[in-house]
Amino acid sequence: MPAPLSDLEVLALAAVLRLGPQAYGVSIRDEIAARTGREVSVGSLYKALARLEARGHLTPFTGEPTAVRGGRAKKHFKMEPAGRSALERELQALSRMVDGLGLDWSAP
Amino acid sequence: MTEWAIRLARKVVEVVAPPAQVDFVIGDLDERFERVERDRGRARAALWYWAEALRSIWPLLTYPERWRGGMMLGLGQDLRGALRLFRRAPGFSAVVVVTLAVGVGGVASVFSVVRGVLLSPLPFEDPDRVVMLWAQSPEYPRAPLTVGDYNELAREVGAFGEVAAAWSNNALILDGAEAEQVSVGWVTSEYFQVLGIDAAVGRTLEPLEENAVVISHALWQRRYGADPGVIGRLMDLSGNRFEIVGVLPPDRDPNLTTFSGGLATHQVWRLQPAGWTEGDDRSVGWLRANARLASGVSLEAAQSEVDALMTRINATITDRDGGVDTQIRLIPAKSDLVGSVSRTLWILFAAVIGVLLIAASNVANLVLVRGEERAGEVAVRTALGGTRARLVRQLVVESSVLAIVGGALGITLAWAAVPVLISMAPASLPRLDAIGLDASVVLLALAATAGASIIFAVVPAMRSTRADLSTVLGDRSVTMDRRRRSISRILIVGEVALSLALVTATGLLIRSVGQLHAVDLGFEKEGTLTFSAQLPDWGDSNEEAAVTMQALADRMTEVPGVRIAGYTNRIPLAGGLFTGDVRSEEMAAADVPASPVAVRWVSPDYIEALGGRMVAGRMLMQGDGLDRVVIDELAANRLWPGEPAVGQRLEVSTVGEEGQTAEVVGVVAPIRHHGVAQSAEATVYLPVLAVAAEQNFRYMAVRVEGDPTSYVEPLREAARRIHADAVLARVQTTRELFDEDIAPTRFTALLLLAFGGIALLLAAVGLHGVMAFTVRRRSREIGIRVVLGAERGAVLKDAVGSGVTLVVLGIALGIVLSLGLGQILQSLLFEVDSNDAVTLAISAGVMGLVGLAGAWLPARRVLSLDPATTLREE
Repeated sequence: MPAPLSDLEVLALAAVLRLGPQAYGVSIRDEIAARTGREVSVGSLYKALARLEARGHLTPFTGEPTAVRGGRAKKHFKMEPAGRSALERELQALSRMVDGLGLDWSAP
Repeated sequence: MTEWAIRLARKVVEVVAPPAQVDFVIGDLDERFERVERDRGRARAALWYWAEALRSIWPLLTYPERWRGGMMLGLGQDLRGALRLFRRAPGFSAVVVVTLAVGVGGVASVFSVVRGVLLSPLPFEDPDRVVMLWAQSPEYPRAPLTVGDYNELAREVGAFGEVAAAWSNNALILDGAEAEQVSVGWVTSEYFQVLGIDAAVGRTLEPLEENAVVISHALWQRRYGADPGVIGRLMDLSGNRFEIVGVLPPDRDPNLTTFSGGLATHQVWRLQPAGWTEGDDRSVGWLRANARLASGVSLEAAQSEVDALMTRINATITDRDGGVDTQIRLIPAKSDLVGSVSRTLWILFAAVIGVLLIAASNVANLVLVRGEERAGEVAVRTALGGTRARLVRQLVVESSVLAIVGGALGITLAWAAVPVLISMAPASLPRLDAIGLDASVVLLALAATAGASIIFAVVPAMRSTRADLSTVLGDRSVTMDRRRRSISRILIVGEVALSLALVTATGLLIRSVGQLHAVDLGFEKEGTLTFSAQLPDWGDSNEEAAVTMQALADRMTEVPGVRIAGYTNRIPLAGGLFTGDVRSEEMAAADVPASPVAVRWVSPDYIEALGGRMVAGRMLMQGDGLDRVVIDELAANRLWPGEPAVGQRLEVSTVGEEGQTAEVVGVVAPIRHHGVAQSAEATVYLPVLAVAAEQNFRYMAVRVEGDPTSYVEPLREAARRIHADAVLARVQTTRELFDEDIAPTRFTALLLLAFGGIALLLAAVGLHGVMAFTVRRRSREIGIRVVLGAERGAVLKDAVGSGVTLVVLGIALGIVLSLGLGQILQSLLFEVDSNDAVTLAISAGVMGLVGLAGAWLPARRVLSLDPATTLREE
């Protein structure tokens, strides 16, 4: 049984999955902020992404530098099959935990 | 400003982020920053950037694999590099370390005084709730309470827990061993509860226990050898016997401020007879009252309750010592004690922080200049693939090592300096025993070191790594990066300005000390010994006591070299609230109210013994009764302006006594009773021998030939011929009285002199360092000009010019600073205006000369070199 993910790692995985090739630091953070209201610091996010990368859930690749970033390149992330199944495992675990509790799943 | 803040925040992230991630992280931050700036403005965005950077420090430092491999290894490398720096540039390292040590050591030393005197709590239970109660009226700004007011406060004020009062006198301990004079506190039974102090051995005093005493731990150890069996023993105090019922804990003597503002020095405490504090007498204020605030009551609430009570009382009474509109001020015990010195100490602390700032900017300049010299090395390392973060880290590590060594040396310096500081401190500085290096002082020293190193390490580090590769490697005659040079210049201008402010403050204080020396005290500073004379028994009637006093004075004048000896109830410069009211007989006839006057009880020989001056008439004579008085010129001018006072009659009443008429037989020059800096007040001198038995205090002035201190033992022996247990206490020459009185101003002046001198030196060193570098960079150009036949004077002027500009700018800024700070300094000055133009001009002149020397010396050195050498060097 692989080690469970932290909640930030779960959110980051979901964001990468949703963003596809557009997934990099800023867009992932924005996605999390827009959907959960959580303002994650750049440091925490990079740390979470680094752990996902170390487990083989994500693969980084370097994007094009842009002027707005002072000529600095973006670090993009690509979802690996292992990442996808890890995300599913977490959701299933959560789903089993709350099954039959009569909680409201639907987003407002 | 915001630009700087953002850059610093970015620098923080650069340093803490894993090298491989730095670009991505900063890129993300900058990208989002643009957005935040667009939405919320630049200032808000800068705040956002900082918040983001701070929140990211921990996750970035704990980034996976962050500390695996190279990092620690690299740190070791950097440390080794830093140590190599010591070997390679010992001069540079030594200057940095010593400069920093001086700054940090100064701050730590002065802070240890500030902490001990101002910040540490008094040694009582919950000391912040103990308040002193002083009467405040147009007549007296701060006076003891009358019995009537004291009782009303104790009875009526709900905001007080316990209320207590104290009074004091001196007494002799007579128990077979050598007689010793002690200060005795006469307290009410609630006194120990107000302070929350219990006995360490035995118990404290119980109500109505009028024949018992408690003694201080120090007295117990010194006189009774710390014998627990002392409890129950009898103590003979000037002929009265008391049972010792308790010994107080060490270093917790329940002493509060006295009327004169110093800390009481009681070592024995007894109860006041119950009758003393009964009734509603308001004719004389003599109780030093204090109270403990009831729990949960604020000082403000208690004060307003007391104000309301006093307003009610004042409406019902027709007379009171101090007047019917007296109010009572509640002053927290600690503020009451340290209030007068707190401003001085904070000013000194600010001054020493100024020195630290100068030291730090000096070091910053040195590091900047060095960074420039090492630009080549940095560029090569960058070219070889060293990341900027890594280079910054190396520079930061090097600076930190210097900072740590400097800080440690500074703490050692403070450790050595604090005892010196204590020994130099004026005796009137309260709570000297609470001063010392403790954890909080060391902590502050570390904080000062850290603060200083941020200034001198990080800023230059940011600059150094900015050097452009191609210019540094390609063109050897590159001029200094303009921005870096502007930092250097700002630092120099700031240093000069701060130094000038310090030098000006020093000058003002030194002039104040000079003015204090020039004051006419009304008596001679040299040639007189003063002391409190104590006999177990002077005699019961006034006649008997007068005979004893005269006999004692006669024995003393028989000592070879003694000229004359006289008595008073209080020697000058020692304060004491002995007052009364006076009016001329003509004023009395016209029903003009009497006005307040100082009262001294003196013997016929006193004025001469003190070295005072008769202005008219004669001194009191043996046999003069209360119908003869001498007054001083101030009183004479007030009562009979423009007329001779001798032969006139006046009506004088001392506080609490009926008025009586007396003839003025002489006029003396005004004498300063309360201090060198406190103007003399109109005084009436009454004949002490007429009421010899009723005196609480008998001080003597003895005028001698030669060194007064050599007469102490002969005079003691002479006194013992009157009574074997006679004691001369508080022995001081008039010179010592004077020195002690001006000691606070001299102490401040001395410390400022040290700080000002150091500041001046540091500023000169800083300027010299920067100029030396600038000129050396231009040595090739200078060489060419000299070879081409330029006149040396012109070249020199040109080379010195930029330094002179900096000095002039610094002086201008320093003058503005001095004028701005003058107001704060004014309370420490005596008869010198804080904006004194002469002092300012002299300080500016000194600063200018020192600055000029700092700029000129390096320029001259380069000029004196052979152009052929300098040109070949390049």
